[in-house]
Amino acid sequence: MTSVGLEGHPAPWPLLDLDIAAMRAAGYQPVPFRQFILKVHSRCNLSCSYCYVYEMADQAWRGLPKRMSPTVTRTAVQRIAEHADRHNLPSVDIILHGGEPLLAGAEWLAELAAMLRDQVPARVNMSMQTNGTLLRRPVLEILKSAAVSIGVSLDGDADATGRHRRYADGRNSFGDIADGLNLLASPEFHDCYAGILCTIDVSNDPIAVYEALLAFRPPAIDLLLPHANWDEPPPGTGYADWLISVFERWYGAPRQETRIRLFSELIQLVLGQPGAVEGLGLLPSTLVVVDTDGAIKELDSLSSSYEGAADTGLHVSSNSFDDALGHPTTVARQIGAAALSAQCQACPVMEVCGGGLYPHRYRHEAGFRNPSVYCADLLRLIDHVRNRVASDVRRLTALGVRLDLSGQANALGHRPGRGMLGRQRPVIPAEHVGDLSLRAVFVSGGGLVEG
Amino acid sequence: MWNQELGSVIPDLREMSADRIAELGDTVLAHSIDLYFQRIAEDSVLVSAFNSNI
Repeated sequence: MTSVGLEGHPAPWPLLDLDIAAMRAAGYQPVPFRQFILKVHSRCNLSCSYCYVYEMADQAWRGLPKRMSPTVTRTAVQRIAEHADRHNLPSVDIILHGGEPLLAGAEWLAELAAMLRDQVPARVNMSMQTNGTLLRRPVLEILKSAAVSIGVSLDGDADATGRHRRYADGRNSFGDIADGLNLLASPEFHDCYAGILCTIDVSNDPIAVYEALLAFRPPAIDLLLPHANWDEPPPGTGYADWLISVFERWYGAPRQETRIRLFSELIQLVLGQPGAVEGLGLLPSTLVVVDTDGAIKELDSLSSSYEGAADTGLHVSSNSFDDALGHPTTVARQIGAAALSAQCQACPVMEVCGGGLYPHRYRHEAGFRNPSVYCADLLRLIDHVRNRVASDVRRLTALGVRLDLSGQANALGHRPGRGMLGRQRPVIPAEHVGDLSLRAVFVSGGGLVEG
Repeated sequence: MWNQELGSVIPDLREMSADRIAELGDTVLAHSIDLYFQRIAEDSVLVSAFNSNI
């Protein structure tokens, strides 16, 4: 654990060394926030061992009010409305968070949702991330009527969940979460069901974890690497192997059983589209946090790096969200490759990896311009997914070539591959259709089939 | 840079016929290609928070 004031500055990059004035002079324009995490309650009824709020470097929660006050709530809503209006945003995402947001009370949350929809001049998408222990019928009825979608945190079956997600007295929370999830997964409430977040523990069998989550019929799952950095290393090893096992089980199923966001976004990046998840790819982050006391903060999980890492010094009572757009950490999270280390910028998978999740790059007295502490695991995972997808798409294309060239059994040849794949690439020899690349052949072939 | 390299090997999915995609059934790859086309149709893709918005 590190603290501001000990020895050198904890994060000279970006806090001291990122020259935002020069960037602005050169034409830099920040991207408006579109996603607002409201930490409506600062306490939790669980005591999870890996929690970045209560168990890691930043213990600031101890000084926070338990629930967001009416004044702070009204002001935060006004600031979001102001930001949406100023930037003409078509929609905003509001994520109710904590602590455990349901400790604020379901009716209180519904009133907040109504206030936001009344005042924000944009479509308001409401969601909540909960530990699931308090999801009971009356609560779900209120949240459903308020159109709040619900994500639940769960780490697998009872044994897997019980490793970390326990009450303060040591009891396993799995049974209470399972009761809530079964209700949420029922037809009556399934429309409110956003999915399950699972923090990886490599001690747990990956397939057993995936299938335990699948039993709750989630529309989506996300798999989270435990928060770690170069000073606080990951709690285990073999994360790539663990993830690849789940990827193969998921990808190889005859039908898609659920969406696994980490993998779905990785496939999009491999196919050349931007990835819509922070921690992969190079898109600018548009997320900001309002803490229970009204403080405007950076990415919540930065609290795992050092005490005060998520602080901006801004408050909704006196600052607009535009003020936060100029904070060095916000800028660093919006400038893509320019925020990455030289090692990352030279890496062939930089555009897919994006340097990994920002907090995972931290090293004391250097800051955040480092590769992810999970660099080796990310590289292996990306390589695996890329090869798997490339192989399948090539197979599809090869089928097209065969259809187009029926009767010419020897038409398909091979030549050495180039670039990252380093494999042979099927081509049509010149005597048949000319020395065209696979892509060109497929495009032409598509025309033939359709014609 | 890397995607350009990959793009030289993976065909441009925009040129793939609906029949060819239909062959994939309800698989993960079929859903991924659907999502790929949705992303192309959208003006922009938002980055969502890793821990808050699935």
